[in-house]
Amino acid sequence: MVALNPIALASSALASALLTLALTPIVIRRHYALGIAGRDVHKPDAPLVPEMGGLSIVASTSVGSLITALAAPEVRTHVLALLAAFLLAASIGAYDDLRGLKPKVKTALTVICCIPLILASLIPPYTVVIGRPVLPLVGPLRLTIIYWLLLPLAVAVPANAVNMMDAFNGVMPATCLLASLSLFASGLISGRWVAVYLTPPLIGSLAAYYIYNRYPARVFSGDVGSLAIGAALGAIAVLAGLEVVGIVALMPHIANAFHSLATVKRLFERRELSERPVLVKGGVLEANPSPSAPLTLANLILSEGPLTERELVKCFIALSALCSALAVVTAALMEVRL
Amino acid sequence: MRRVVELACVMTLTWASLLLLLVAFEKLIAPIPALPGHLGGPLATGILKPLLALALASLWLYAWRSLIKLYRRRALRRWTR
Repeated sequence: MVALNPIALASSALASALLTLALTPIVIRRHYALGIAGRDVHKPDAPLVPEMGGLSIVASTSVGSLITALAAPEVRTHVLALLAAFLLAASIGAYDDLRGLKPKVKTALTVICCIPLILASLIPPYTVVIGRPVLPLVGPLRLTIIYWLLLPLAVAVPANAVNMMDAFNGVMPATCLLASLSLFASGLISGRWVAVYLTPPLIGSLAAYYIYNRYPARVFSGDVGSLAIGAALGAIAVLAGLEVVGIVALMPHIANAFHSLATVKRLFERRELSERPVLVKGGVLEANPSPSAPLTLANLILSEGPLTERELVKCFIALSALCSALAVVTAALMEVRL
Repeated sequence: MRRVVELACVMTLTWASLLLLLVAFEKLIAPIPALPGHLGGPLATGILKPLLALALASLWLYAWRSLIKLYRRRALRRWTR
């Protein structure tokens, strides 16, 4: 039984937020100096923006998680497993940002991020229990083989799905912040304290990072940020036994990835697409109506007509807020049996 | 925000159908009794159940994809009109 320590929760969230506020301007300056910057192609003048701002999220979330591990020994193994998965994904993302990885290699590498979770479940006194998901309206399941076959996807899918949706200013931190908040709320209402402990560092750093990444972005997250955050959300869902809640909270990201891949019919990098999903015309964004353009969430929203980037981002946040609310309802339904 | 109302309805429908899919796994597939020995016994049942679940999940994904394609066709028609 894990007891709730509100001081640990508040201090880890606050430390992450303050550290992100302090580190991000340094990362921005250093990246300009080192020339690690990319074009913001959705702006008419395509300005240069530093690309690996996710480094500040990685550093601050790690510090926040270590504070949780020190203040709440009962969830220490969970925190360390999460931190290992998070840092593995961040390393893969950093390598991709600096050197570039083929899409298939990147996706395959993110699969290994589930290894720390498996190892944590094998360490005595076995405080980390995975493989016993509770489904809404159904109850607990005992999946002896299938769960372990699907486990590698539980971290790799959210990592890559969050990475694929990080294409517009502020979308990644805002939507992932909402998903983290829904996991926190779901943990509270279902009594899964592990989720309540693991999410505050993420919530603190994403809330602070949003200030720098929102429209007009002063920094991009890079794969180092988006892969790590996606992997962390997947890992928290698994460690807390909130797998279905995690799927629902990340439904916009999963929809974006699934419908894009179903159109293109292979793993791809944005830069290698012959048909962009979104076209920039005179300061507004339009859906590419070509049937071979990837059916991203942005393409779907813009199919109703052109929008500015700021308006488009509001639509993303609205859809994410809806799915986060549905995720909390899903957590409440975990106590209901048909 | 009116822009995303229809897409929000699609997402809510997808969520509701996901819950139904999970209930179907539990109520329709899990209770399937072990096949008799001459049809493969428990081993065949162990293979059949995940295959049925996979078929049901594929059907759900297909329905989701069709719904999204229908939405996009209608939205593009509204825009170009």
